[in-house]
Amino acid sequence: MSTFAAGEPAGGAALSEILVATLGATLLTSLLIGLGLAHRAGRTELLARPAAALGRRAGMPGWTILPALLAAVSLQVALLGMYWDISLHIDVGRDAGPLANPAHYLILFGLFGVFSAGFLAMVLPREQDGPPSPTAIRITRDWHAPLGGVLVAACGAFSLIGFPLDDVWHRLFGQDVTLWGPTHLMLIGGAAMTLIGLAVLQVEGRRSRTPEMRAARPTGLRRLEGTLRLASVCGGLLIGMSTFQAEFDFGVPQFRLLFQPLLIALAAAFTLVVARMWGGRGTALGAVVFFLILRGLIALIVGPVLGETTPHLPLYLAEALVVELLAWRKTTIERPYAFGAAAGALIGTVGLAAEWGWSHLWMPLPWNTALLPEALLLTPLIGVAAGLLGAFTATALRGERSVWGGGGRLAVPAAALAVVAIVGYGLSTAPLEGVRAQVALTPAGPGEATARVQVTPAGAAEDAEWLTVTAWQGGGLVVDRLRRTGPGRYETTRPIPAAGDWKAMVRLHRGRALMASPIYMPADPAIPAEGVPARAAVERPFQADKRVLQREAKPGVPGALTTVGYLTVLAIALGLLAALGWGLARLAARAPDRPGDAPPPSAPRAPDPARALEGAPA
Amino acid sequence: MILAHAGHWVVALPFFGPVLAVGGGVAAMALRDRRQRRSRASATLG
Repeated sequence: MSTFAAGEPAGGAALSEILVATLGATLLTSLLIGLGLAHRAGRTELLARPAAALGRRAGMPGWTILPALLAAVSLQVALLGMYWDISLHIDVGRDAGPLANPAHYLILFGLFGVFSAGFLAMVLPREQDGPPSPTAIRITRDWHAPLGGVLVAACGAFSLIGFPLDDVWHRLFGQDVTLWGPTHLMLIGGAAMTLIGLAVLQVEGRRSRTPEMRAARPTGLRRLEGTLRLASVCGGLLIGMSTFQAEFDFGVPQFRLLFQPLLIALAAAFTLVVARMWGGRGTALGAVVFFLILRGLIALIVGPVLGETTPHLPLYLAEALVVELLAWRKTTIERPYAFGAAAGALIGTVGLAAEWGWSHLWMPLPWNTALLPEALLLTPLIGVAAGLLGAFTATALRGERSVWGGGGRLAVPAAALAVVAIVGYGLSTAPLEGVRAQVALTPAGPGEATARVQVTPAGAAEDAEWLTVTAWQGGGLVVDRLRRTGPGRYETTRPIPAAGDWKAMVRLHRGRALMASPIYMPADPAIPAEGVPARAAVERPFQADKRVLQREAKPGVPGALTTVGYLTVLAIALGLLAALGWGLARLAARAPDRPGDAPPPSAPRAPDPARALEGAPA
Repeated sequence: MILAHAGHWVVALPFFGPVLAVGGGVAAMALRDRRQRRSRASATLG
């Protein structure tokens, strides 16, 4: 793994790699388009046959099941690739090029698979009997694409173009060695939102079942399949929403620790409200079990099996339990927005307490009292906001026309604004001025040393969110939380690597300040950046964390260009979110009103996961 | 700065291929269909 050394290029891929990628993309796209066109013209049954067979088995139209299956497999491949990729970057630094990192292939093929799934859902219905569903979007006179297929394809496209845009970004601004780079967020955000498109596709498919499919009595096995499908869609959404926490999962966040409880509450409140309201009793718990199994497997594969740093994960069990308990009486979910807000508030308080405890059991950076004033206020707030957005999504999936009723017209935009405001507040940072670190190293083996650190002024690191010596990118990751030995005096609890390709530094996060003081950095001529030698005793100032961790960032980039870059990505992202919101509203507005398809929420009904997939409340 | 990398942008363009080809193709078909419907409607009204 140390082949990804500091001498690797830092400003974008080599032209030869771009050409290879272009050739591959062109070939795959030609195959995809050719297959789709041939299917629509009736010249091949390569798509129709497996789709029909899968549809018969599931009692659903084939244009729902085949793309859903392809998307599910592709998302899992991309997910494994993503966590493996992050661990590689943490452990060995940047790679020699986009195609020199094995994890990138998994991401690329996974995202292409997701995009293909959306495209297949769009082309599969042949329309002998008219449009495949009332929500389908007219492309031509004889081609109506299922709404869910269009949304999945849009999310896949958003994610997929993140890859070449990422390379362009590196060329313009230098490599951004953080998960929260704009194009990185496109890659993971698009994939995460695919699950909303898949949920829409499932609802559309159920609504479009033929009389024969409807007449078929659901067997125990089919019921179980329906339950598992619901739990996996909602669990997949929870996994997608949780990908934004990855820096915290690995222990090298470059943003305020406050974000970890906020992001956990955001993901939990949105997803578990959707799961319980749409899927019925037990689905919130099922989603969390699915999350724990899949993320647990990925942690095992990336960590012990592949030998990289293990990605940790939140537990979400308490959050699922409070949502299930709150919805125990059916009447509580009859008022979706009240339910969403109450569930979000519980997740932001009870869930916060549970995750707090869990962080001390298994997270690399346990939460401490320094988080308390803000976390206690903001976590319930973001929980309520996310719960409201979840209620909107679930209401649309349930097929209720009153998606804007019951206060939704006010609550949904207010909730979206609240999420943006809280995230914006968290992003604001300011380094403390005049803080310095005196570091004394004592050799403790080949290339390793223990460190004693004197922070001045002495109170600068008191009540800090974290004070660590972190070493990374030299063949692994070490995050050592320093032990206090006196006023302003700290020491490491284990030897720290400080030679070769390793980058070792003291990291301090207190309030809005995120700072680092380098201990050892190798010279990096490709950036170019000078080395920082490891000395037996040295005093260096703390500087903005980003300057030490992201040495690859190009200096002297005009501010206007940076603004244009961020605004472009933001515009694309807002476009995707608007498309998803529009799609959900369309799904709700065109819900069937035949008796039995979408009964009023008060109608007594036994929980039935198969019905929930259709959009009816279970 | 963008111009300095113009060559790279040109070479990278086909790398956006799947999205451009499929998205552009479908959008073009939908737009042509809409135009045809509109012209048919105006011919009927006329």
